[in-house]
Amino acid sequence: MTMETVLTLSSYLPATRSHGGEIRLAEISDYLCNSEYEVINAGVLSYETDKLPTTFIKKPDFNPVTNIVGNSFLMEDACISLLTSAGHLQAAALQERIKTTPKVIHIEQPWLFELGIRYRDQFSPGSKIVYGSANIEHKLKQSIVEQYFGREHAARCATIVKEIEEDAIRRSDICIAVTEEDKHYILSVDKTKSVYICPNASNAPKPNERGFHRVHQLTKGKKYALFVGSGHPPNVEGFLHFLGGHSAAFSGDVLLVIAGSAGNAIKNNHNYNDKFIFKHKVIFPGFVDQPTLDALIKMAHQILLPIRQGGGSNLKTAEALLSQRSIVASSCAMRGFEKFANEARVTIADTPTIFKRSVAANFLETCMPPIDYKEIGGTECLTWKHSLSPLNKVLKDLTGPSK
Amino acid sequence: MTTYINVTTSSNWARPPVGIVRVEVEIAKHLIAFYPAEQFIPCVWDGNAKKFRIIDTARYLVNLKSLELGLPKKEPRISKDFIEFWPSDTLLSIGLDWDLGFVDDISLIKKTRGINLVGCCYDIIPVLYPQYCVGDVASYFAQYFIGIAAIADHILCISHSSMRDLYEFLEEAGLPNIPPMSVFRLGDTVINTDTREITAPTFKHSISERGFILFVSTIERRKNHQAAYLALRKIIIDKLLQEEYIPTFIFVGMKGWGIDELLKDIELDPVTTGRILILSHVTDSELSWLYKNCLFTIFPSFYEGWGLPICESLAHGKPVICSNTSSMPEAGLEHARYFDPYSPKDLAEAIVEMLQRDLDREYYDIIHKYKPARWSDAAFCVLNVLKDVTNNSPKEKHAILPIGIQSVLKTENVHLSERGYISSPIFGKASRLFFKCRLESKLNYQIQIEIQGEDSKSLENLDLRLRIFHDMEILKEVILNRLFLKSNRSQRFFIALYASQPLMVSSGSSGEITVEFICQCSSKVIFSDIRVNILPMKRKAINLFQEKIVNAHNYVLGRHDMVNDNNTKSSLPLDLIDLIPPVLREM
Repeated sequence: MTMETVLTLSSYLPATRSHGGEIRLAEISDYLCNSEYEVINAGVLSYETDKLPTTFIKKPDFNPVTNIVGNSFLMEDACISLLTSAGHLQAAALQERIKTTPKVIHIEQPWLFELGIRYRDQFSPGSKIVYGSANIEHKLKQSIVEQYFGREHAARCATIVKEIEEDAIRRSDICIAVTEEDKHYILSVDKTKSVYICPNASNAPKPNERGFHRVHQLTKGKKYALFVGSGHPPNVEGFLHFLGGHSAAFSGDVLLVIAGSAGNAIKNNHNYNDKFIFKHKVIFPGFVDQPTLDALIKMAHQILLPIRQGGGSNLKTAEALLSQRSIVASSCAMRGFEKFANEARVTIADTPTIFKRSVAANFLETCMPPIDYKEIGGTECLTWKHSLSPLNKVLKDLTGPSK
Repeated sequence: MTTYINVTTSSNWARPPVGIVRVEVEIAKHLIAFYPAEQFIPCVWDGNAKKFRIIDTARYLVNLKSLELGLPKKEPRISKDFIEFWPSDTLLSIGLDWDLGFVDDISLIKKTRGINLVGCCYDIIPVLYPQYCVGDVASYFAQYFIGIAAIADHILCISHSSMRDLYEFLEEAGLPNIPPMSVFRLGDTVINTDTREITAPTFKHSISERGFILFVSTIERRKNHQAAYLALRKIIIDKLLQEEYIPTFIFVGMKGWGIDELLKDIELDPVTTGRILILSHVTDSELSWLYKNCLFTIFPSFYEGWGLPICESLAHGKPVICSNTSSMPEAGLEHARYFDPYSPKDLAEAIVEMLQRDLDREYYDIIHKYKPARWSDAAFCVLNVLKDVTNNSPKEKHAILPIGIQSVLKTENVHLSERGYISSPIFGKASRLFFKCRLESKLNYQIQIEIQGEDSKSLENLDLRLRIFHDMEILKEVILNRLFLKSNRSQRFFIALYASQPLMVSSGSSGEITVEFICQCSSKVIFSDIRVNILPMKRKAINLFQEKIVNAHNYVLGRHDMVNDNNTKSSLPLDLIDLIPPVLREM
């Protein structure tokens, strides 16, 4: 039996797994492969890279649409959509890179939706379109842009993104959301749409000896709080909002480990440099390999989730919950994982003072055994295997009963 | 039970004590001199060794007197040995502690020795008003106060205003357990010099016939000399007073930073030329003369932790016009005239209004109504806090040692009192953990060790031993019994170890012992958590304890040393439960 092909379109590379979006798409691809689909990852990159896979189009020149967005900074992904609509990006360019005709086109985030539709119409008329929504994009974009360019520009950007996003919802065959809240938003745009929820998730950490050793080298056996994040602006903003300035969170013989590219962004942020008083207690291991990250998570005294912006759900929350360590998180970070919010060692903190106090209070606790979530059904629901299981139904609905 | 007073600041001081140095001096002096039964011992911080040493009390007091009299100090006598604190000891530290950079070290002493700690907050101006400070002092000031508040049993504050500032700051910073705080009122310093000796101060010819208004303070931006200058300017320009009634303004104080432009303005401004006199080096007798002969004083500071010049003025029987912000109303009470320091106009009006009063009547009222505060009262207040802290400290103190294995192995000098706690991963096929603890002779101690680890597969041939040394001689090799609690599901393991016999040190070997905990294994083992508890036992409990050990032996042998986590709770005999540390009981 020939394997049916699923084409994924994205503005980033899933294989890199350097941020939540890439990890999610990589996990979706893995899941589909394990379900005996052939998966082709393709798209148009919104950033420069040295290692461009053959199925991806390199970052285009945004100049032709700069007048529409005013400034392409932070709107690179939306520019891809605008370039396509204006005819500067051709579906043929995508066709040249894809050898087979896909049965399903999964478009992760709305940025490549216009290109995906054009590709389908011109080269693959029978393909079904899945819109993979990871967020309510226009709201998130507005809050990010506002920090840099003020309200007026942010509102203009949000309007552009909203149009792109709602177009994707209306013209797709099926939508995938990450939370109930996002599903309601999608249905408010098109109440007839089939929407499946595949929350963000993680895999249980599997540290190895080398990972443990590396962590020990980094932390010298001291208690530490862990913040893992990409350089995505909301990660930096959230960290500085909840933990910046004068803070008792890291007094005493403890450390803060900031892993991932968030570290660089935070290190170079003037608010961090001017106001964070425990800079000498912060370790920036940067982007670490998976075993080291898993060991960092496993050995952490507590895991911090200081997120303030964005819809969707945070896959770092799933990762933290799966680690069974103590957690201090904002309500926003717990979106999609609300049933864990009342657990004894999960602290919800929505003001900087409470966040700092919770971190400091956790450090006063001795090392605790892993949290057992037995009473609320364990941690199975946090795994990708569980969260992506609706995909089988999605593809069955779209491709017929053959699978 | 001893109270150590950290006098590092004053013992290093080489001039007559002022400000915080004077507070440390006066409190130490009064506590030592007036309360000999309380065992107050002055000590100094050795920044290199990161430990305290005792300073000879008599020599310290003699040196203080020398400083006051302007005589040279003698070399302080400092003990060669470091202080070995006991859990019932208290450390009082009220000097320029943020400059000592010792918070982390004191934190370790506090955790390992379980001492009581009483600190002091004069103000948090560098945090609240960094613009008035040189360099980035805000950051290390904030670190200092967060660090000290996290470990202190009590913080003394010099005003309610400072206490409120500190409390709000700590709360906003998220400190979980803000320590108790209280206010102690500083003593007033009255300079007792015979002013008859001064017949003609060198500056006397520069003073207007109408007299002068005195402003005693370091000349810096926060003290707001600008307001005094602008108020005088306004009085002259707006003709609020007739020319012949305008007094001279005398600023007494060392020149600080950030005031060059103001001093230039004062020097060049034709309106105020000759009307403001700046005296940077005045002797005590000259200052005494100034207080005695001034019309009144002004103190327009933007912000203070207390307001010593206000009290000094009142103690000298002179009215004071001062700012209505921060702690200044606490210092001036109903005796001072207040104004808004952000309004030179307000100050000008207050000065004019004061000059129109019957000043002799004002002097009379102040002398009869204002009671200068005594340093002995301040010391008594501190003494009561120290007593409260000592009395309220828990009877059975647990010193906690949450430090990394690396530092334990390196220093071999980690002190535990009756109970120690070590948390760290251990790597390698053989690891040794050394720690020191002080045991009292003829008391029995129960030894418990709990270990948690990540991979129970690697536990084959794990050898765990405990050896106790005294003066480098092996005192005992303690046999440890073990209860394994292995989690089948996660491969995590938990081991509870306990000694078969209570540990008792003979009278000849009481005091400090070294405990060596040896872990050997055929493959690498990763321990995520090790805790060592050495708990004093009452005599009556010993028989019961030994009975339980027998039961435990039988139980362990019957279970082949290993119990899975599904049947642990139900099958473990109830009378063994308390041999297992709480954290493992819950598994």
